[in-house]
Amino acid sequence: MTSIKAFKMTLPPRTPGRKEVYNEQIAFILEKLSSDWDMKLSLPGETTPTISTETELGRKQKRCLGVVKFLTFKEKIAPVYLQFEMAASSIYNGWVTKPKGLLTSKYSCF
Amino acid sequence: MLLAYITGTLTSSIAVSGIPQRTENRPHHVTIYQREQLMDCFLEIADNTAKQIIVEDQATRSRGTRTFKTDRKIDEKDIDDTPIPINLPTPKRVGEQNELPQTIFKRPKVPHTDSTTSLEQQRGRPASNNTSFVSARNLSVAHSFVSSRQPSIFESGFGQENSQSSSTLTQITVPDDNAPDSSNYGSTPTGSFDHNVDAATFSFDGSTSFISVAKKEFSMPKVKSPDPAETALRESLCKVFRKFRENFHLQFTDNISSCLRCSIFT
Repeated sequence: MTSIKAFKMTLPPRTPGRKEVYNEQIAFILEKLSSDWDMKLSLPGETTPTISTETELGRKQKRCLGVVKFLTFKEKIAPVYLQFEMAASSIYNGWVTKPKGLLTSKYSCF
Repeated sequence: MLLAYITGTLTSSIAVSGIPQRTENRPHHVTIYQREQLMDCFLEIADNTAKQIIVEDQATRSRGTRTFKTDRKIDEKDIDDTPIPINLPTPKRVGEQNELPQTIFKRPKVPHTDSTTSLEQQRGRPASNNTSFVSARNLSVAHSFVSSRQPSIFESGFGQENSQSSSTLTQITVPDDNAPDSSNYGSTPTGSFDHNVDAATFSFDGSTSFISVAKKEFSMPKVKSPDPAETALRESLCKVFRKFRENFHLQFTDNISSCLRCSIFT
């Protein structure tokens, strides 16, 4: 047994599989969302508690997790994140998009 | 000193990025209401893209470009999952295996009477009374050989110029009313065969009997006397064909020599 353990220790680390790569990507996206916009999203693990679905917020968090996983596996998460950043900045600043605002404004010189 | 160090690092960090280093990675301060709004916004965007992906997948599935395991019908089984019989056939011994072909494959019996009658009726002859099994088989073999072989131009009597018999003249000339079977045979070079073959020699024991059978069954009737006009016509035709053959031979040799030359120089 000791010899097998010693042999395993001497082996180089194996290349990460596809699942591990996707898990890393998912974890990175969730971390980015929670660090930038404080959405408190994280993969359920040993340290992090499971998300409770009793509250509305918990349900939304779980849905967000599922969607992030799906889009990561389909490799379409990057454009979604960019769109979300643009929309979130407008929500955070309190600005409302008014495409016809220029035409109705008093001070417009056009 | 410490204060100076802190202020120095802060100013340097501000100078580099414009934002203090500590506050750079700090998340936006978001209320619970705003968090919900952000989540709704993210879900809206993500759901739209997910729906688009699903629709594209369904479209490709309906087009048949992709095949999934779920698309397969239950009836179409790729794997033959019929149960294996418990008692498998045991391998037989060497002696039994040798006996198998003798028991299974029997020699087919040729209905000789029917074949002879039908063949002879086709030729316009009365059916022969030869009903031996061996002769019928020889006949079938000889018929298949002779009928499948079409004579070329050069074989049709011109190679046998010197040993011409009177019967070969009927091949070229206008069909004579006296010759009964000339119209059926056309230009087959069977006129030189001898008719007087004994029926007792019908035994398949070698090439001689085979030839004799062929002679017997496919021979042409002899013409009584050759016509001088026919002989003249035949000679002229012989000359023409001889010239043609010589020309053809020359052309063939020329072609071969030119090909060889090309191959040598290239």
